[in-house]
Amino acid sequence: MTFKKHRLGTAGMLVALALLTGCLLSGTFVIVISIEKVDFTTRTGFYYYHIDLSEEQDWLDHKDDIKDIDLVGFELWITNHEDVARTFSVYVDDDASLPDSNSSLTDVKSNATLVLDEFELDAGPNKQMRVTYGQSFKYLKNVETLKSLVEKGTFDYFGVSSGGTASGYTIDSARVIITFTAGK
Amino acid sequence: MKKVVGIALLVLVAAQTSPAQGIKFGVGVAGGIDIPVVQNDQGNGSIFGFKGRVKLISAIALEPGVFFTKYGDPTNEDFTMDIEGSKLTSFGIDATLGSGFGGTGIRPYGVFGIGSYKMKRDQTQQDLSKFGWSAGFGIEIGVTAPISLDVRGKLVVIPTEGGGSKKSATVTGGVNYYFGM
Repeated sequence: MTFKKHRLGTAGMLVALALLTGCLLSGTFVIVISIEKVDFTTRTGFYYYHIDLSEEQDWLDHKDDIKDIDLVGFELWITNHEDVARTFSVYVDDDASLPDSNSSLTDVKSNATLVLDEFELDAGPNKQMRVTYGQSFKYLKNVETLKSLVEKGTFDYFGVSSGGTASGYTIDSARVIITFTAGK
Repeated sequence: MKKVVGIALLVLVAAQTSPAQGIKFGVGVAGGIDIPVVQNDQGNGSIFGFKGRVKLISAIALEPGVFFTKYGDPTNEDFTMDIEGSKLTSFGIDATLGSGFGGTGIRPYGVFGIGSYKMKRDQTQQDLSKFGWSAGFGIEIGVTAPISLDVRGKLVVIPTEGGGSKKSATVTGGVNYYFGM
């Protein structure tokens, strides 16, 4: 009887092993897109950067098997050069309509999608503030639109500030952090 | 919490009634580590829970149970990933094949389970409730007739909305007690 039970146990272990090895082909991955100050295109009233995920190896490895965009978050370092408080927001858009050479802050605000809403910058001068990845989730809006843009693999990023003058602040650096699940 | 209390009461009632009705019944507690498998957004965590054991036929037992996992905070070498690990609560039934039911000796077994899994991370507004499955194997060591030590490894697979899945490997150690032995 004991021998039979041991054989059943061994059979059970083998079946379990077979099941386990068959389902390890998927996973959840995090990719980080780092944007330095010099990478941004500066326009009057906003900063612009075109994000292309095809430059990310993890994305290339899994792009045909992506099942879910789990999370999209930001990390930001911003300096307020002026002695007035201001707010900072992030807009995103597909790469079809914005920006062109005539795009203005009004175009961005009326055509792109607001995804990070009004992070408050303390009055300067030269006051640097940071939005951490974890903090960014408190300010996120229109998450589903953001995820759908990410899923396409390319989109435009606009950093916008209100209060003070248009040139009174600097995005020192930014990161866009994308978590996705992929698998066969 | 109500579900936990409910299951605890069911276990208690079954434990009280099982000898009289001839049903072999046991209870167990287990704890250990929960290791996310290819999940870059979770860190290694801890798992704890309890279960009932009901003998189905000679070598197969059913285990209704509830387990709680707290994943560790994830880390990333490229940036400060300041989010917490998720909490995972599962209610399910495992079937063990080959473990026997009480008595002394060493008994290896395979285990297969299904369950309801609720994964939650408040900070990122993530809330996933899905049915999932698990498979693995273990060894039960009968110390005395009614008391055994139980070491078990399982892979847990929780399907997600888009057709992917969240997976983790659990390694637990625990104690089982069999009534009426």
